[in-house]
Amino acid sequence: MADIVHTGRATPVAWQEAATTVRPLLLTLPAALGLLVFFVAPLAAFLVYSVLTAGLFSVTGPLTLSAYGRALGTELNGVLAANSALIGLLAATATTAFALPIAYWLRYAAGRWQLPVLFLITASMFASYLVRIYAWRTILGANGVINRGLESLGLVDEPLGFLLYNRFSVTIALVHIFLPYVVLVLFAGFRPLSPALLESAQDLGADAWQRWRRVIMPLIAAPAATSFLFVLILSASDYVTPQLIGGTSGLLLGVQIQANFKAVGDWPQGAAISFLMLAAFVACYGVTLLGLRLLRLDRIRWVS
Amino acid sequence: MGELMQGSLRSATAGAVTVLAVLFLVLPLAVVVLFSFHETASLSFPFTGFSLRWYESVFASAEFREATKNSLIVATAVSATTLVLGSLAAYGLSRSDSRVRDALALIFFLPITLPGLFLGLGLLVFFVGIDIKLSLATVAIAHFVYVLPYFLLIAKAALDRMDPAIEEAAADLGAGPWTVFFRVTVPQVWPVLAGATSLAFALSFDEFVITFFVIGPQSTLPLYIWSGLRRTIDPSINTISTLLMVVTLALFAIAFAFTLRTERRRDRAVPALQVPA
Amino acid sequence: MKAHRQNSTAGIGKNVDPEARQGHLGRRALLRGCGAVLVAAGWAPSLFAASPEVPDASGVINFMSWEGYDFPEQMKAWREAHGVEVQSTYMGSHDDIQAKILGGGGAGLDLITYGSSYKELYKGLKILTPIDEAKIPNLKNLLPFFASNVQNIWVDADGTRTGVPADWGAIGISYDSAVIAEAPTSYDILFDPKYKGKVGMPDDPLGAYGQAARVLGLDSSKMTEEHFKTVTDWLKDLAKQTKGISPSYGDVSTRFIAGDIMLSFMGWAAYKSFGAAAGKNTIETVWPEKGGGLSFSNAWAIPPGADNIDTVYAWINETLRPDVNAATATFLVGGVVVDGAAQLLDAVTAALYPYDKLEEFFALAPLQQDPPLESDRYVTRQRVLAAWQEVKSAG
Repeated sequence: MADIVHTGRATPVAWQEAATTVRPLLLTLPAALGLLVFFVAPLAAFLVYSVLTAGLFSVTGPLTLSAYGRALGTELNGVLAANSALIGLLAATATTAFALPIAYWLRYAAGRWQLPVLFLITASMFASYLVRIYAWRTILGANGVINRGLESLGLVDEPLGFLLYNRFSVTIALVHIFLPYVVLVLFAGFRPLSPALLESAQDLGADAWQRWRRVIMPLIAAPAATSFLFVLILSASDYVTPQLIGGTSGLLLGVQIQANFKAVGDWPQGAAISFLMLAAFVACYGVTLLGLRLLRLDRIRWVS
Repeated sequence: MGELMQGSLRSATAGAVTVLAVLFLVLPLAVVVLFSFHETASLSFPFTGFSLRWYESVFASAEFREATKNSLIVATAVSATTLVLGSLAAYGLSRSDSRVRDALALIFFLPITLPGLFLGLGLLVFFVGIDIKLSLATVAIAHFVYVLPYFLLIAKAALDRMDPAIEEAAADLGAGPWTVFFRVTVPQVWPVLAGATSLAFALSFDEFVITFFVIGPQSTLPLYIWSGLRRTIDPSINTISTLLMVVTLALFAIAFAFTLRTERRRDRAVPALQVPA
Repeated sequence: MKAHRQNSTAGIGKNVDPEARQGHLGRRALLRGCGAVLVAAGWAPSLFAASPEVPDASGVINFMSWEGYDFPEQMKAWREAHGVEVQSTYMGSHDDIQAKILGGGGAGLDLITYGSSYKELYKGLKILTPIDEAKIPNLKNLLPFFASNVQNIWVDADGTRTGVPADWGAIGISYDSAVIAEAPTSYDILFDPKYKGKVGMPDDPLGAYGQAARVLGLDSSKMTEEHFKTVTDWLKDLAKQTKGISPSYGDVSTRFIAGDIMLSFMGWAAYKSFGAAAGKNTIETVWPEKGGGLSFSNAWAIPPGADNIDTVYAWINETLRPDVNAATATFLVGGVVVDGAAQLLDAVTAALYPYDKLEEFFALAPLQQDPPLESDRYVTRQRVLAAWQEVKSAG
């Protein structure tokens, strides 16, 4: 009994044992059923679409892999895919890199500022997505906040044109959209590790590097890796941001998916591109999981 | 002494990054709010003067009220469903064995990998195929699929990292699984669940890509904004956004103030049960 | 009504009049009889002739189109008088319509609009059902140009009507007169190096190809491979002068207002009004002699899933009244399609287009025609759309 009071303070260092007496997987059943009906079924239908022949805004007839051929063979798709990978990686890196210290600070150093700052960060999620993108135009544009500020300080004569309508502005906007989410995820990841536990690790003789490697990293590696991947794929499939502030160089693969579905009417190709992106994501996810497991960073073990 | 200084240096750096990030996040919001009061229809500088005209026109618009009402209905339904089903799923995933768990987790996270457009069109074809009439209900279903991975990511992150020792102890003492869940697990992770639910609400409220395809003859708020893009953009979209932020912040403030008082009261009552703050 | 008819066809002869019965066709009887004839004459046409009659309106119209085309203010009186409710889904781009209807979401949809250049596609996709002209008497109000069957946009070759004009507008070169003192006289100005990065362009592929072809002396609805390449290259070069193609016309106008651009290919006359609302009165639109411009016109149409068709007819009929058309044109910042409406416009809207020389204007800026859906000889619509995606990322 005395143990319960004291062992609230276990140090998470090694592997987690499967614990409770509840059949845990059963709990996932309702959500899984929902997804099965409303996601997997439509997904399967679209998988079938991707191997059918393209009609005009419809699909017909014989099975064929020509849609995948078009998807992989069109030069534009390759260019956009490369652009998406680049911008996606930039956005994901920037977002995760910023979110980590923020989540850390919120959890351990914020004190009474924790809630107000959390508010501010969360508030931006509630400002509509479209409105935020337009706000970036007002900030980065030729007559925008930054340019006017620089001009009034006499630092430039002409407004800086390279701030908007290119890869840079798209990346900035994407980071702005995803940062709050990733902060929340990482904050959730940090939450169970109280400052007291960190201190006790210190008391037990761990120096800063060890604390980082053996306490914080294992805690945060999996959620950080997953959020990184999420930002990457979400950025690549976005089509609104690139068209509003991406100029000609900041267009992403999502734009091509949209064009195929809505304008051109080549549903099989739109589906094929989507599935190829899905496959790429699954591959990256698998590699990440494998990496985490090899580095023994994927689970936390609580040792009392 | 060196250790202490290093500690504060780390905290200071993290603090500085946080300040920069908050400024970065808030600057566009400040622009949004500022221009919601703009006297003319321009969304760019120079800022010519203040006026409440956009607020007046927004509140006077019946389409706006109708669209907002619809968005609220859908978002509430979606966040409630996601909270219940998602928490259960996250708990189930985090307490289960590794191989199955990873495969199942992948399926749960899959919707994020598919663009909203794809999801919307797929669900439209599906609903029509099994003869379900398009309405706010179909929108809610579509949003649930869309929102669930986001919720799961956060909830699972917290649940994974909970010390199971207390749960085990409770179970050893004879508590049934539901008791363990509600009286041991939930009290420890409820702030995270609350945050994830509000995220679910925000995502659903702001969604328009999928919504367009699966909605019936109605409109939601973001659809209303999106359709205005065809003509010129005017600050009424800023007004809508500002109202959203203000209302949400107010709700948050109330909710957190309330729960803070509850937590403090409970902590004062039984110090030993104090959740790791 | 039947009773009326009987009485009047019966004529005065059968009018029961005590004096007449006495075999005495008194003056009173005569007067009364003449009165009856006159009354009958007034009634008769509407009772006998197979003249068009507007169906009764009631219930709900499920509507999908651009925001504003459901005319919340302009049709309010009519809606309230008839107890009609309009439930609208607004689209962000024209392609939303076919995407949604073909995805299966068209059940119960009563009223849509289609742009003049989408006629061929929608006909091919079977989204347009025949419209019974007898139920829209106000069709007679249409201006001659819109009553004539231009390019089979509103009426098929076999005489079936598929659409009723609702509005129109014209696209030329828009420019900021505060920065560019002289009105452009040719499309070459868009390629001037000093305007690099300051040119705008909306994401309207068929319009862009249509206009580009006109400038190059070609016809986008009849392009050979060679023509297609010429036009595509011209557009790619133009795209390099821009900082990205705007996802909508509204977005181009926003960039004008923000000072990000000073010129626009496919410039819409309505920008002047949008700009003025934002405090920028200097956005003008011209139609140079060489290259001219293009017009578009949105038409009401009834999709296959419609179930409240009578009310839709009544709606369309109402919009063709001169006063209503003038009000809607003002609201949409566009052109009127009804005779007599131009005189009812306010100065700003009336100045948008030269109503006194309308036929000439439509020669300079004809209604856009699109590449064919299928063809052995000419480049098809789908290929143009696919090539456009490359134009968007050029530069």
